[in-house]
Amino acid sequence: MTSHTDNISVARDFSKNPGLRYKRISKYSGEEFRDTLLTPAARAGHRLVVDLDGVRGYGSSFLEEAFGGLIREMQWSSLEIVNEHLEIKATDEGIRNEVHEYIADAVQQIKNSQ
Amino acid sequence: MTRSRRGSQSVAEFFEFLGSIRNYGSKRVLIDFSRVKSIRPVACVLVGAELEYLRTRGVAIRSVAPRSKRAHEVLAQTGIGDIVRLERIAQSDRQDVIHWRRATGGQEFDPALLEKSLPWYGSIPASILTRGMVECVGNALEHAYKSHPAKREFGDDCPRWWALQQMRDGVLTTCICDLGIGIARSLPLNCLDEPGLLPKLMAITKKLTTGEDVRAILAAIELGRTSTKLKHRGKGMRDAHLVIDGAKSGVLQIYSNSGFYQYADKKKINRKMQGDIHGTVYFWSYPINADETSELNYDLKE
Repeated sequence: MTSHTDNISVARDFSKNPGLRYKRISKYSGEEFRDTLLTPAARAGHRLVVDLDGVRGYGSSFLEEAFGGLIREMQWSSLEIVNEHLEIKATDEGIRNEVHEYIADAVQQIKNSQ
Repeated sequence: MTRSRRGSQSVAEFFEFLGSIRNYGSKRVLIDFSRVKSIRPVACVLVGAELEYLRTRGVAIRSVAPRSKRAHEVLAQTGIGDIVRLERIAQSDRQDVIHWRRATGGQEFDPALLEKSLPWYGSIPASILTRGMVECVGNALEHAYKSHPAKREFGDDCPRWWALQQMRDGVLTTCICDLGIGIARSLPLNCLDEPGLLPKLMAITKKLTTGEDVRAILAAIELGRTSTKLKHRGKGMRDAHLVIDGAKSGVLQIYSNSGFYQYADKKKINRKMQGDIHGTVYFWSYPINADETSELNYDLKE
């Protein structure tokens, strides 16, 4: 069980203008967001509540690399494990569903590779 | 000469002009804009990109200004005037000039630049147009300049992508351009780590006789539509379509090398163009107010 909850707002804690997938091609990339805010907290055993509101817009690649990438890095192999560690908040249901789709795909990849 | 023949001739002349800039081999050039009367966004973004590429190769560019004051003002407003050292002209206050806006970027994308340089959102949420633009710039930086025999050499000071936006008669037009290897050459490289995927994608379009570039655009769209083991590569194409779906009206066009694709009113058309642009352009155009109607006719189709 996780003992501590980190509330992370992309707009407040990272950028109101999220960028592309990788650090090598973009400021404020999904990779940077994951590596600086998501993975360290997850590795410390914290539960993550991530608020996606308040930014100008997200590209698919940012969202996939941040959240799909987190699942791959943490090797979370079921949605139950994911739900224990991660909660996504977004007013836009489409964005929320999209992130859940990337998470589900990443979980499936891990299951398939085991 | 019939109207369509005239159109066809002017498109052929445009491709010839573009090729002559791209392949220019001397150290100095004089470009004569004197007969330019109007400029369309796709042509403008491509010419601006090629001229900037030419300048960063060390070619000294001088130019003759258009006789048309409006054309001169548009060249100044879009930054082409600075690239070709066009004589300065007083800043225009004409509505069909001041709403041209330009942005460019190098090998590292700064997302705040889009908001600063291209502030028009139109009738759709800013997030949707942003998503389309960001992902198309992403396609340029992630895929268009991959190592390939056809890849051009770029100096560090040359941008890797160019964007133009125009607001005219209630229609917002946005173009994003790269001078990369084109979708037909980058797609096989993107599919290397999933053997069998490219033949599957291309099989979907095998009956098309419109050429490899059109087939590759359609295959890339299919890649974005379907989930693959690849980390959702190709979603940029899906995001590009979402702009028009979000606007509920308008047109998306994709030009890649000699391939042309259009999505409007849920209908898709494609064709092989008369020439090769040696890069890729994404183009969106949609009315700002849903009740306004405007002719959307900016392509190089003839």
